[in-house]
Amino acid sequence: MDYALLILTISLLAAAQIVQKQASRQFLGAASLPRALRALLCSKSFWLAAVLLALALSTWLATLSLIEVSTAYPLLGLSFVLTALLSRWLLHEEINLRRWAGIGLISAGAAMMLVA
Amino acid sequence: MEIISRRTAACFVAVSIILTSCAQLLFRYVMQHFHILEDLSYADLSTLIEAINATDGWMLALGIVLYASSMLFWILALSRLDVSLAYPLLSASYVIVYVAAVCLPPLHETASLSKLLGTLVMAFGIVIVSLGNTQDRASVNSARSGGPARS
Repeated sequence: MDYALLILTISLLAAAQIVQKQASRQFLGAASLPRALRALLCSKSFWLAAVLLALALSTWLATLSLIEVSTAYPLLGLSFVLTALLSRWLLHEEINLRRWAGIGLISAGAAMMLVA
Repeated sequence: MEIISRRTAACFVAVSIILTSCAQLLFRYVMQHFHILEDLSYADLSTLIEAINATDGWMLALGIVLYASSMLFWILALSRLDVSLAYPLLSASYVIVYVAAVCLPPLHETASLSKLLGTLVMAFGIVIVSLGNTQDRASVNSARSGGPARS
């Protein structure tokens, strides 16, 4: 149950990034910035992203009440890997070896910082 | 014609990272007045809100405003950049928050070797991700003359 919450948090964070990318399409080909901002605030994807982020914060706080921060936080670094996988599958982004290597290093660094 | 250029988008990533880091530091500053962060749970959250004094409340509100503005800059940046490029760069805020938390007197957190090593590994990863972007070479080259973040 406790690790399920952690996995849920990681998934929510990754999903929020994908949905924010969808929301950002409001800016493509928009006539002006104020108009695009208005369109963004009226878009479903913007509010879905906000809800996903709020849910991620809630599940994260709940996770912290069940698992120690030093164990939970490094695993949160997995959100970088999951986000990259999702952006490849759902948004068809091309991720070269170098980018994968960087993402791996960042996750490893996040783990090292918080295992202290 | 796009509203912002890729170069502006790269600057917005940086703005978003700085706003997020400031918000995070404000939250830390407020939270250190309560020694319950280690076992923060749902039940404690309402007690926490009741215990917040005026100054802390003001800083907390500022933190939330900074977070919200960071999200707007983030979405603007994503309109021109890959998620798989921008999201790893957001981890720079971990590095900024760590360095600031150690250096700033009001926070004064203790440094540790493993944290420092982790920070360096992360910073190295961030550099590799930001340099490993092969798309849109033309704009990369045009931004090369002194841009803060190439992408």
